[in-house]
Amino acid sequence: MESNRATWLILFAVLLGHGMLAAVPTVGPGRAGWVRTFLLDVLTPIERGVDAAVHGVGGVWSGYVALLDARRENEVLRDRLAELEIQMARDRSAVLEARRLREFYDLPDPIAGGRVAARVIGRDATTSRETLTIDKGTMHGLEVNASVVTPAGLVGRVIHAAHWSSTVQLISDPDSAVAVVVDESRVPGIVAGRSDRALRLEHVDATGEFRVGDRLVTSGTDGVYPRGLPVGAVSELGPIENMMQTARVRPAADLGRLEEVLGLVDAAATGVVADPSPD
Amino acid sequence: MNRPVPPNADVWRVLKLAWTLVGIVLAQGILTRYFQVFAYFDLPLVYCVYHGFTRANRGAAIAVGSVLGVLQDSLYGTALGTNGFAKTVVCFMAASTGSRLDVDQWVTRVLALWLATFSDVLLKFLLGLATRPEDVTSYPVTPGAWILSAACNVVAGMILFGYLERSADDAA
Repeated sequence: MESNRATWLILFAVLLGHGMLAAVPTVGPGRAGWVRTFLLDVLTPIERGVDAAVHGVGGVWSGYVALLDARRENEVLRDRLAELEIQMARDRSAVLEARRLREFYDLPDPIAGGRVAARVIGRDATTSRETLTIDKGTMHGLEVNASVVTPAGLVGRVIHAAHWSSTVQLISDPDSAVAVVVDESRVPGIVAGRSDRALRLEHVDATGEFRVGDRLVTSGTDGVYPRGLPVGAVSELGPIENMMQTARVRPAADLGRLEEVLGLVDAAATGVVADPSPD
Repeated sequence: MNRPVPPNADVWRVLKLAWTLVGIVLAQGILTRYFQVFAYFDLPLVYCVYHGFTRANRGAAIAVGSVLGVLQDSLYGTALGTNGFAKTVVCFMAASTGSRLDVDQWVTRVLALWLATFSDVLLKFLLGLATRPEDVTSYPVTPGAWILSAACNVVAGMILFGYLERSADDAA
């Protein structure tokens, strides 16, 4: 009987402890929480080791066995490269013009910041969350709220940074919200994650004009993501809710197949990231 | 005549259990990284039910549930304590009922795993409402995802129970 009461007391104390931990705001700049940082530092080397082993085995397959279509693929890629070089030559003059105009109107310089290439070594385990574990942390310059991208577009932001690894909240996480503008019309809105892993454009004024296929880029007004990062494209118009338009959004980055990502270091929220591709 | 117990048997048992818990949480993250379908599984939850049913030790269940939950929270970015709270309750309930139910029956196991999945999501949702109501905007899991997750956990649980029972029989 005595032991039974002791067990209930222990259970109560443990649950109270967990409840208090959950109530403490450990998410946010400077509040990473030493428990989480310690456990991440201890556990992620094991995760990284397993990932390296699996990647090594996969490398043997993709490097030797799966090269049957390489020649055809090579030709396709050459054609694509030629197309992109022409496109780049055209864009270069536009970039130079923009730079001259920025100097002329005395606008602030774009803040490119540094980039840290990281490998995805783990993914969130539950249906209600959408997070990744990457193998770079504060020792590599990544901090909480650093934006994480691929050359295709925005992936998410760092929500916990340990010394050698970080947890990244994807933009499809139900708790994620990104301030965006429609690239053409500059109509502002919010791209929010949903529990069904889709992206949704919300808080767009009823008079704002946009259509299926319009590109969405970060506006920088949320103080987290730098301005100009591709987020996705409108894939389906949704209903009007509370006088606000909604739409379904197809992400620019393939969030389901992430292997390598880039963390943006020191990219101020008001800065412009013109080209998120690696150097 | 009883077999002599090695001097550090308890230490080894605790280390083995600790390694098992770490392995389960890491396996969940690594498998989900390569196979997205594993997002619907909750291996730590399945282990909580397994441990509770087979050991029927409520003190150990509190420790196992807590550790699994905190490890899960730490690695995957959930607010610390969220999974710890839910997994502790689930593991404790499994240990409390394990000695009263016929846990060798597959119907009991299926129902327990189904209920555990439901309780886990509900507890996390209620804890979120109690501690950070401003962050909880909607029910965290759609009914379809919840049913799929429960079905996956039942499958994983039945495989785990079957495999470990077979291993125990072979060892005997």
